[in-house]
Amino acid sequence: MLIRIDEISKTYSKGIKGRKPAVDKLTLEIEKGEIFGFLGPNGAGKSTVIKILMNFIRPSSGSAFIDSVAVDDPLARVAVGYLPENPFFYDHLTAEEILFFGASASRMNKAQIADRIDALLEQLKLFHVKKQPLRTYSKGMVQRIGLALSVVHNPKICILDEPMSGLDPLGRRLVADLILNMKNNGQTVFFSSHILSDIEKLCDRVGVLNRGRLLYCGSVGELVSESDGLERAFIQCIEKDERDCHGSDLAAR
Amino acid sequence: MKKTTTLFSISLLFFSFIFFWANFQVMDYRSNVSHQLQVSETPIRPGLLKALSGEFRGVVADYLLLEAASFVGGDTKVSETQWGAVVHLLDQSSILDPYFKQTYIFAQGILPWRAQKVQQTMVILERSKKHRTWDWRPGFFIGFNYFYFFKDYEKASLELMEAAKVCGAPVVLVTLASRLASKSGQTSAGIDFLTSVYEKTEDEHTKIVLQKRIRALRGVLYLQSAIERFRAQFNRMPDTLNELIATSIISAIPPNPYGGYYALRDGKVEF
Amino acid sequence: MGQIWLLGKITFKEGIRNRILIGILFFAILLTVLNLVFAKMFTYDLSKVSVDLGLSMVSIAGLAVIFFMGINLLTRDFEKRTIYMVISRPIARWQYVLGKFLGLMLMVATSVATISCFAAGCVKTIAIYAPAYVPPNYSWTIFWLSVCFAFISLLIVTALAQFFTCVTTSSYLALLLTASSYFIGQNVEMVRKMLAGKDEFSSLFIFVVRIATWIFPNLSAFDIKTAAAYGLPMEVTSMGWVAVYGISYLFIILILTVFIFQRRELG
Repeated sequence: MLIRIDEISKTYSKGIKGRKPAVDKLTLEIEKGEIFGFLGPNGAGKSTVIKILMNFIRPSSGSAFIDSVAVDDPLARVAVGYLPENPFFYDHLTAEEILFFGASASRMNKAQIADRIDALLEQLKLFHVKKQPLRTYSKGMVQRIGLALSVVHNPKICILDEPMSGLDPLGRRLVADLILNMKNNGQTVFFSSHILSDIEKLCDRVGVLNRGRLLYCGSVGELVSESDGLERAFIQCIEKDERDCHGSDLAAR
Repeated sequence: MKKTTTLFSISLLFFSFIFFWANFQVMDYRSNVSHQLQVSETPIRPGLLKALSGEFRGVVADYLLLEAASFVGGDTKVSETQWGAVVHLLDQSSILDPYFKQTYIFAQGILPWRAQKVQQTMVILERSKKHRTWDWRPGFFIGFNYFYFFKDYEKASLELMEAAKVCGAPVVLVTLASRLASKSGQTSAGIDFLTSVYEKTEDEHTKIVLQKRIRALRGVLYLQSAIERFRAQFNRMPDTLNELIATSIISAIPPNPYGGYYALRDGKVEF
Repeated sequence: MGQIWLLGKITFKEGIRNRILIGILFFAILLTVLNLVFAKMFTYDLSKVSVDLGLSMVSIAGLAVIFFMGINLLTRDFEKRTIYMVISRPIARWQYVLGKFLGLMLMVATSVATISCFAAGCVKTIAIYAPAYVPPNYSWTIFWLSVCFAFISLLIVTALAQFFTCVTTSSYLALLLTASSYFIGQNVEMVRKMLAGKDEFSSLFIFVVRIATWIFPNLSAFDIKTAAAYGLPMEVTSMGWVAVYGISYLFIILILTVFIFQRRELG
């Protein structure tokens, strides 16, 4: 198993949320070679979980491991490629330079880096701008560079936070192709999204998160078969949770 | 994580140790040397300095004064060129901010006494007097310097008269001025003048210097009254001071605090 | 080490592309022009004025690089979240701190090297055209030594800037705190000396000043411009101690920065 999240809780020390945990005793395991989709309404705690995995923030309790290495060890991130939600880069650098930094910082073999960068930029249709500084790029191009940066070193596992946001249909198609490509290479992808159609199309398994708790974890097929379509299933799932556990409905939030 | 933390703690301790050691060394070495480097007498023309400091003129003036003060405050021996630098700093400071009281008080308190820079002090005092129209002290000090350093009693009297006109000036100034002007009362007026300055002085060195002068003037006063009595008795001036002892008008000539002897010249006692 | 170097390199590149070179060049030209103007205005010690001006410009340009570029570059990492790009790699937090510092150090070094070469050129020109004005003891060794000490003092300011950035993550606050530390560092020794042996100040005040001399770096110890200008003799051991003092202070600040940054959440 590639990612193991063990009873993780995270409570932010300050804020207006009244000290409700952002993540509440979450346990999750992701196997090698699967594409795992992470679903949930805004503020459900998807990004928090991802940030704990990347060691940007530390869990209040519990532990997490990537490839059997505890996440607070920098070496855990050798195997990881990460795409933040709204990626920003040093925008006076060129695409080539930033990808070179990413690849060599992830200990990729120096001899292969240049070829890999060219192939990747070709695939993402960015080859013609590889010597331009990033500040001249459009939003979609920046998002694609972010994606390239997360996969440049052929990571065992790719953690993508909202990879589809801000992309036009063509861009989303490119991303989807890239994810499927990785699956074929035996790589693992863990991504969060609230664009359900993408999840339905790509994922082997999904996890549904609401208010920091995992409501469902299993194959997409099972979730969908209970009602017709992922969207219905998702909304039902969340609404049921809101009614049962929080005494309010979704609309009131 | 644990390992890095220990590593960092150890290196922090290590560098703190070196830092403490080095800091003591640096403090030790800089307590003597730095003064020579501190007084940065920039050969900038005052007008240019004014332009360069722009709206921060006041702060620059304060800074220059502070630099001079910290230099003089140290215990190190100050050389002639360094005194020149201090004078220069004070002069620049007073040009940038001629209203600042600290500047002229500091200049008057240090420069004439410890550096024998009376002329330069007078320039700063004149500048303050011109700008601080409400303040009698610059004029008072100018008068004092005429009296004490230049022994020009007439000019001193004039300056004091002028200073006395300033609102709030002590009444004593007028009497002091008139007594300085009249030949007969000069010496006792001088003693009063010195005593009043002595009481306002804080600097120990200056106090000793002033006391010496007061003692000398007291001696002069004593001898002058003896000469008066001699004249009343013999109806002529004595040729030498020893005549006063010979005629047993006085038993001894008081010691001259400046060393040497009091001398009688043209009917006046000099020290 | 490799990771630190990689990060230092892209930080440096980012800074250099960000018009920093134009800024440095601007200072270099300003220096030359001022040299010409001043050479016309003064009649004595022309080369002294030139040395003064050149060395001051080295410091000013370095400070400008730190305050206008360095702090911006550091806080942008937090404000724009560009830091994710770096620490999502197998780069430890302490490597991030040192790598960033290395990048800024390279930037400051570029500035110091450029301006000091210009300054040396100006001094040399004046020495050639007005040889009578050169102070008799003038020595290039002390000139370059002064440049080195200016560089150390700039590095201390850089480390402080990074420290405050990690504490506050706000560019405005970091700028303010760094600038105040710089001014305190420049003047703390003078104030302490003024107070020494005078009992008219309250003991609390003296205590505060004494504490300040230990917390803030004594930056005036690194200022040997006057010695450089007149070629005054320098004591080797004492200057060695000043260097040790500066470098140990630098390391302490860096270690503290790492300590704080290790515990920082980057949500």
